[in-house]
Amino acid sequence: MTDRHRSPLSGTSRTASGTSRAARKWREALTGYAFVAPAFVGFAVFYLLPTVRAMQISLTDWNLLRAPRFVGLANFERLLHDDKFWHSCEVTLAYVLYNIPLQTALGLALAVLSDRLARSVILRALIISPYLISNVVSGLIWLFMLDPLLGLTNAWLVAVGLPHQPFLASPDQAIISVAGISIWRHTGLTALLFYAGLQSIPKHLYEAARLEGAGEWLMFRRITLPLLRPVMAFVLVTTIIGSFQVFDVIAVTTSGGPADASRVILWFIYENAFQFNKMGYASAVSILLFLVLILITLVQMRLLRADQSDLD
Amino acid sequence: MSFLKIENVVKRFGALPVIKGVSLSAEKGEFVVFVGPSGCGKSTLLRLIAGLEDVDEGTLTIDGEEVTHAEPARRHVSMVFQSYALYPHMTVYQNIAFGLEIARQPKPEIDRRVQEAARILQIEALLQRKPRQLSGGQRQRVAIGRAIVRNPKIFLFDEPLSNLDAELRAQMRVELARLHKNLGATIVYVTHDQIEAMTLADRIVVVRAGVVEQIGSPADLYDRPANMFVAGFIGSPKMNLFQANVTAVNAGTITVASAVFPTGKWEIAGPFLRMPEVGSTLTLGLRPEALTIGGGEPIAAFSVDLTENLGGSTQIYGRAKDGTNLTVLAHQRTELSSGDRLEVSLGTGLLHVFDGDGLALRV
Repeated sequence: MTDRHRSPLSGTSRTASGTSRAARKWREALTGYAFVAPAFVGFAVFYLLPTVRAMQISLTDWNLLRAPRFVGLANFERLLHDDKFWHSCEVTLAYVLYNIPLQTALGLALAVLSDRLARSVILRALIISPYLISNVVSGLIWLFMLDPLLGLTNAWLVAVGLPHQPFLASPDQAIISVAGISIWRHTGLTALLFYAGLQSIPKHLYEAARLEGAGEWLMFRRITLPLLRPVMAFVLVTTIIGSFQVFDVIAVTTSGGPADASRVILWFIYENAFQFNKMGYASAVSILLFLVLILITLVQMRLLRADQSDLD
Repeated sequence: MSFLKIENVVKRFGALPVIKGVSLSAEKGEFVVFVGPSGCGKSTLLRLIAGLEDVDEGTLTIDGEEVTHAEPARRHVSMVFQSYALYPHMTVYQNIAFGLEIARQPKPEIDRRVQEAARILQIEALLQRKPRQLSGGQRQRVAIGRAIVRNPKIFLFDEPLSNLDAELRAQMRVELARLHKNLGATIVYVTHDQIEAMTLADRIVVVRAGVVEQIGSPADLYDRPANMFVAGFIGSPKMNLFQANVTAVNAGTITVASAVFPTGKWEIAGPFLRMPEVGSTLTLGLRPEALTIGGGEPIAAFSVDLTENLGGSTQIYGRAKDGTNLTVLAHQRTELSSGDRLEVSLGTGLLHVFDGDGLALRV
């Protein structure tokens, strides 16, 4: 076939193939959207809309009985002078500071030990098992365990010659005890995440280091820790966000007491919204918490270069 | 006394023995290559020398000191891994300096030695880069730099060129040979590539299934393989092996019969290690590159199946009357077609003879 004969035909086929390519692209895009749709609908209904609605409500004075009244930024202004709010911030911060470093360190230690020494599936299952219990149930278990008079923990303390401790009943020990419950429940998950991260570090790096005379501690400091950075970022971001949002264990064990000693931000929001019917004020605190958490997350991810891994 | 001595070393993984009583030695400054098929235990043997695996039985001595159960660092060996094992979060400089830092060398000394290694390997310009910013060949040099900077007693190389493309592999091979010559280092090198083994080694150790099949110089292994495995493993294309029956045994010569020979029989002159019995079956070996088209008394006759033009030479595949496959590497281009009949002579090449157990019969 000569070029002269072929050109009109090929022109037609080019147009036809162009059309079919566009159609195929459109079909492909539609399929993609169809797959994403259920997740997006869930996100929109349960996260996006409530957030937008909370933003609206935060600008109103609304007690659930009367219609909301627009008050502008008055709720936010009031927050700044509310000692109870600042106290709840302090309590939350204390909870985060008790909880996160210890939980992260313990999780990392368990992960490294089970990677270097045991590698047992049963051990890993045991480590993760507290996480399989719901927050409410673990709160109840520890409420009994830490009971000042009848709790098993005090019985053990007395058995080894230590004095009784009030734990959840003491303003000084309440938030530490709640942090302890969280550490007990979440360390296994943290350890499992670190363990997964450790599996991505090639074993020959440790062999090369051993040949060069490195001991276990040096290898941990100079190889394991730097190469776990993306996992560390993930763990810290998720656990810090989770800690700022602690609620159910508080609800089961202390209800924010004694003497407001465990009134964390979420409990403060809950009280204002559902006990004092101050929906606008509670929403303003929620929005502020949301913004603070975004800020903390961004700073953390930036500092830990969470999106970059040194591993190929 | 040998610089590196391995005596009756056994290694088991669970109940499975992977190194079965290996003994060998290397002199100071020698380049020893372990070669063998995948899974033969050559890398395990290297890891036993490094101390990365525990020896179950036997002893290991380096520079007169028994190190059978010593920590890897106490053996003063450096290893270049197949995957290079560079620390990905450190720069090239930090990678090379790491071992010296651990040894608590003073900073100026570390710097001097890193710069010296970088100069030898021509990687001075790369010192501030991270491994992921380097090509395969550059990573290889850094891994070698990390090894030489510690001034070890023995360098261990575990298939260091297998991740490189063919051109780079050839180039690095030459550089390794040059490095060995310049440093006068004792090197134990593992490879499954017989070209690397033949070109680099002072001595080759052929390993199969955890057992040393033969130790010798490349020329020794090529010219006088101790058994059929070594004969088949060393040399490319592979040695032609075919069976023949002993029809007569005289003083110093034996006569064998096979359909491969144009006349059906061939007389082989000694000296022999053992004389075979009349009626026994032997395996004979002819290297494809030792066979010449025409020129002399023909030793094999066959019909051509296929030819491969390699540019300067031609690889000819054929089949003898009894179906035995034969390969000839002709050092010229040929105009042969499938079905053509061809006779080849031995020229100055050797006819290898193996007994029923596969052991060499001829010296």
